[in-house]
Amino acid sequence: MTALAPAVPYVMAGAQLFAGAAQARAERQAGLARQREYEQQAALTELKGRQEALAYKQKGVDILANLNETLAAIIARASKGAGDATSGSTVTFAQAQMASGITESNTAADNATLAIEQAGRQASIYREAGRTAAETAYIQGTGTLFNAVIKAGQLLPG
Amino acid sequence: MALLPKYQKTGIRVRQASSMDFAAERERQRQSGVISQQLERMGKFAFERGAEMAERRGQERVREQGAVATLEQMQERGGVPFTIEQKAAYEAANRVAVVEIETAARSDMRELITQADQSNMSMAQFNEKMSDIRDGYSASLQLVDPVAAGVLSARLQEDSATFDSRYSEIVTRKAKAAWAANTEIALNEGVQTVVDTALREGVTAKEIKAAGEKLRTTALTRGVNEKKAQKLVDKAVNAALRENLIYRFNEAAGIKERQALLAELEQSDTFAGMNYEGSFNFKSKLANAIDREIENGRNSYIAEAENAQIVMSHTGQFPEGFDAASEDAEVFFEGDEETLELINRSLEYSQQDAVTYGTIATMSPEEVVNAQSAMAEDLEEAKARGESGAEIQALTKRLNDFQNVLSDRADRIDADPALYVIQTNKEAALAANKTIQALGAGDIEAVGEHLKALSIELNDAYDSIGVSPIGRKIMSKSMAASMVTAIQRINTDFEVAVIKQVQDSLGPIAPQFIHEMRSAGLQNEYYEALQLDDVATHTLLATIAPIDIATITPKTTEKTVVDDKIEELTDNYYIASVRGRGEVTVNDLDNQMEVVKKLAYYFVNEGADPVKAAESAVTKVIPQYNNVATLDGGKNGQFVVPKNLNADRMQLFAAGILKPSKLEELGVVALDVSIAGTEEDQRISYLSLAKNGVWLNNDMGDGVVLHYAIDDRTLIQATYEDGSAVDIKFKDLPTVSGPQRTTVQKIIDPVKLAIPGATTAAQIISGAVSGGTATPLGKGSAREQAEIQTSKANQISTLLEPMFKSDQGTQVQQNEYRGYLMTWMQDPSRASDDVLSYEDWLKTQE
Repeated sequence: MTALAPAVPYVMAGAQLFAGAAQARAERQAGLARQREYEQQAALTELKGRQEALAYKQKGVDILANLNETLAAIIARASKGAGDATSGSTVTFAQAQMASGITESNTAADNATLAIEQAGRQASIYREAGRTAAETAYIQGTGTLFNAVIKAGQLLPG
Repeated sequence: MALLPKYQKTGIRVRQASSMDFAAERERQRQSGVISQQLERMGKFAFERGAEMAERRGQERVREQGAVATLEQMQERGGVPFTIEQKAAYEAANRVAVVEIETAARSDMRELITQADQSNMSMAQFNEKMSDIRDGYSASLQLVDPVAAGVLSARLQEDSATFDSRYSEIVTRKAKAAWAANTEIALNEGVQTVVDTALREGVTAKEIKAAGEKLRTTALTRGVNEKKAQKLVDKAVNAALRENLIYRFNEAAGIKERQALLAELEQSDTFAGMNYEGSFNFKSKLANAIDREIENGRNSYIAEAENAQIVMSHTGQFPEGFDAASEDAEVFFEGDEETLELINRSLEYSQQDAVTYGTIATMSPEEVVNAQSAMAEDLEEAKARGESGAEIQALTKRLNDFQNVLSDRADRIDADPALYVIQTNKEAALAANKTIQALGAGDIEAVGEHLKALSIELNDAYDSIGVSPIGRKIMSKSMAASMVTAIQRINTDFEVAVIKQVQDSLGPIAPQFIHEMRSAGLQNEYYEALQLDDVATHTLLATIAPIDIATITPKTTEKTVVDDKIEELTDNYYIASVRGRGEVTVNDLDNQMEVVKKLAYYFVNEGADPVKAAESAVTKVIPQYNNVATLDGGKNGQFVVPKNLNADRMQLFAAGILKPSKLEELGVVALDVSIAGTEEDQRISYLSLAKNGVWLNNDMGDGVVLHYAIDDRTLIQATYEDGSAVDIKFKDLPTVSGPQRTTVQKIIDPVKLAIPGATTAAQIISGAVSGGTATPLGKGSAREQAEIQTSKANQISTLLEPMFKSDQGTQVQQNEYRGYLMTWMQDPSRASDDVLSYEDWLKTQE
């Protein structure tokens, strides 16, 4: 044992350096994992936006279908009862109803666009966060490694 | 009009915008939060580190500038700290300054105590200085923050009080010690005065007691109570009275006076301050001291008298300071007057004998014999006259003392003959002194001159006292050792030149000088160098002298080649040199061969071929190695001829002498029958000598000596009628072999020299009777023969010793015994234990 005593400081310094390097690597990997998580969140958010936009488009279709049915009924009733179904108050009335329908249809279309844009924006934020997390892990790992080098240096003899 | 159907409205309305999830904004907020959090964390970290560094800088500033200096600087700049650095510096400076100031203050206070202690400062002065210190440091408190200043002030007060208290204790203790010391000194001096009073000539007990009374007054004045003062006075007076007794005893004029004092003391049973037992022991101690003094004096007188006798015998004078008529002697020998009488008569005899027979130091062997005989006759006559026992005892002692002195002389001559002469001969001592002085002054020429003068004095003395030529030295051992030390201290290259210079100035005694130098430690290389003339070889030998041979010995194969070559070259030289010579010569030759080997090894080390190295070494060290003369295959001799002479011519000259007519013309005598044990007449002797005579080198190697070959292995020197050996120098050989006879160096007949007192007999005999072989021997046999002869010669010395001391037998018988020993020595078939002692030999003569 006595013969090995001079080597002990070097062994301890090596262990310190090794532990520091391992810690730095773990921190770096944790950062990368975090980045991947953000990437997946971004993809999911984009998917959700597209689903929401699709729902708004379906709503617009339904509105237009409802409007068509309403306009058809107006025309039919007008023809059957009193007058010309394509002139006078009936037309005005039909136009009024069409305006309401078109407005709602446009609203649905706008909502779909909004949903896509907001999801894209959120996905972009998540990707930015992922890169920042990876960078942070790199900085933290470098600091940890530097600290380990200093500590190992302090353990050396002489 | 009929009613028309109306459009039924569905009631659809414009779609209202649903609520938005602003996730991006939320994430941006979160991001900003995270960035903020991270920036905050980094900022906090940067701030904390910055704050820490600022604190550290602040503390560093205190460390660099010092706490007090930092505070002073901050005060100059407005006082209140704002930045973290300033705050940190302020806090650290405050903490440190408090400790710094307190430490400095405590140090000053401690130093003040030391100074005060050393200078014996008064308490008031100490308090004043302590107050100065305290005030000075208090002034510096305005720098620190109020809380720290308060703490520091309190601590300084406490420290000040502690040091005040400590110095107060020191002052008090000193005062007490001073008083006690003064009292003790005064009383000790008083006691000493009383004791000193007792050690004056003629002082009385009354005066001693009066001195005691003065001591009492002093003690009372110093505050000692009455009882203690009285005790002190009694002790001092009693001690003084005892001292007075011992003083009187020691100062008494002599033993008689001491004995009188002891007798006086015996009248009293007790002495002042002592009980009966103490007094008894005191008297016993004095009585024992007198007995010891008598005993010591007696022993000392006997030793001095004996020494005086020896000195008188040697020099004719008593030693300086010796009083032969000492009055104390009577006391020493009271009750044993006979011993004193014997000593005095011995002293008188030694004086008379010195006058009658001369001094031992200059007495010749004949004079010694005459003196000894005369003393023995005096003894015999006294016995015949029926003289008293004391007279007989005195004469016996006289004879014994004389023999003891002779023995002492013999021992001293044997140990160091030159020293003996120098110690007993003024002229020799003067010459020796001058030699040493010249050596000390570095005057080499004068050394040689003084050595020559010393040699003359020594030889005169040697002639007088009968020291054999071989036993003669021209320097004492210590002189030779000093000479070697002084010369070897000289630079190596110059050593040989210096010795050579001394040698040259010595002339004929040069060989003896160099031989003695070697005995005193001169290295073999120098010894050999001095035998040579070649300066280059001198330098070479001086160079190898300090080298250990082990460090230059070549590997085994080369060493074997070198050794074999040296042996091959020097074989004839070695055999010729060792033949007929003693162990000393063999040792000399071995030493010479070692030098040759060492030089050859040195050459090999220097890269020379082993064979050439051996040849070069032999040629340089022994230039005469191949100049050997061999007569009739060695039967008539073998000798080494100096390099400058022709060996063949010398061989012819020597052979030319071996003719009966020539031998007769030269006056060579026939063998001494008592020595040789033969009865050949002169004619037969000449014929024998002409046929079997052997020429061998003389001791100095500058000539040849003729020998009789009395059997196959024993040689005896041939002599002229005057007893001198037939020793012919090479330079004389051509002339002697012609019609004219030229003689030659004489040596003294060994038998005549072997007389009482000459304990160098072994040397005389071994030198004079050049034992050896008639036919050439190998190295091993030559060495063995030399060892046998040396051993026998040493044994003869031991055998002669009892004869010198014995009073048995006549002079004629003593001479015959010596002849018997010579015959035994020359007979190679006789072993060492095959010889009789003098006493046993005498029995065979009855």
